[in-house]
Amino acid sequence: MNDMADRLPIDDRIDAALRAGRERRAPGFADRALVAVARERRRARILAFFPYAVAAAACLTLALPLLTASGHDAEAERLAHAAAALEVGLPSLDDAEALAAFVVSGS
Amino acid sequence: MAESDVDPDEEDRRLMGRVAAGDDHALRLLVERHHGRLVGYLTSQLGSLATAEELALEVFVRLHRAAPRWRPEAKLSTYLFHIAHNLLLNERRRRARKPAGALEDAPEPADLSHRSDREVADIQEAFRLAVAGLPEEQRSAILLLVQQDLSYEAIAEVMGAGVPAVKTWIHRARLRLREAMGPDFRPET
Repeated sequence: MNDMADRLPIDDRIDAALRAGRERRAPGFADRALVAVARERRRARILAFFPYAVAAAACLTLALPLLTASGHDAEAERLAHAAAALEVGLPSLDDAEALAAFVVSGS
Repeated sequence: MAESDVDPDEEDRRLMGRVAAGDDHALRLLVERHHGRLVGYLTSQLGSLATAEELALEVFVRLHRAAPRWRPEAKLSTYLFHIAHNLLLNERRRRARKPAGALEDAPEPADLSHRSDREVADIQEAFRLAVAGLPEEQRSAILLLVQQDLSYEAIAEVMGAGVPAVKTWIHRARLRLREAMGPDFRPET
């Protein structure tokens, strides 16, 4: 089936009407695209870090009763704050790993 | 070498390589080169410039995400329309689940300050409705062929179909548009 084989004069006019919408250049579009890409990069970084943050927060939460029972109230309070920060603020991966290592060695 | 001497496809491949390496300036150049046609195509598909721009932004976000894995086996424009086609299908599924408000589908208002402007606007609106009334595959195929100058093979790639199916959709789209607009259709009057 050839698009050109059975053309009628009206097809030229239909084509012209279709081509009229070929291009719509939007002012500032490139800036908005780069902002959207930057937002996507941040989202991807957070998603990549999220499992580590959850694991570290879980370790800290598990460690709290042990520390409280052994009388390390100051340590327990500090770790509770760290766990809350991990859950809410998602600090860098290095921070999370350092905290997790501290909990494992401390408990 | 002057910019006009550079093969556009080769330039796209070069820019994609830079995008994959994290070069945002190259991404900006790619957006500048391709967004006009993408927004034009999506506006014709959706009838709304605002929604078309939103989808076009998502096309470039996905292009950026795919850049490290992209292999230049097809033209970049074909790849961009392929992403746009998939997003359009998602958008239509979303609308089918949750019907959009009337404003979302409203065409951009025309300047009707003169009688001739009104006549032109009426003809344009009738044509827009005729295109909007085409079945999905027919509308996509004829827009990609006639409006965006893609080859049958590229359209088949964009739509994930065979070339014979694409030709059939285009033939049927023409029959429907002829019937809808009538032999006296004069878009430029």
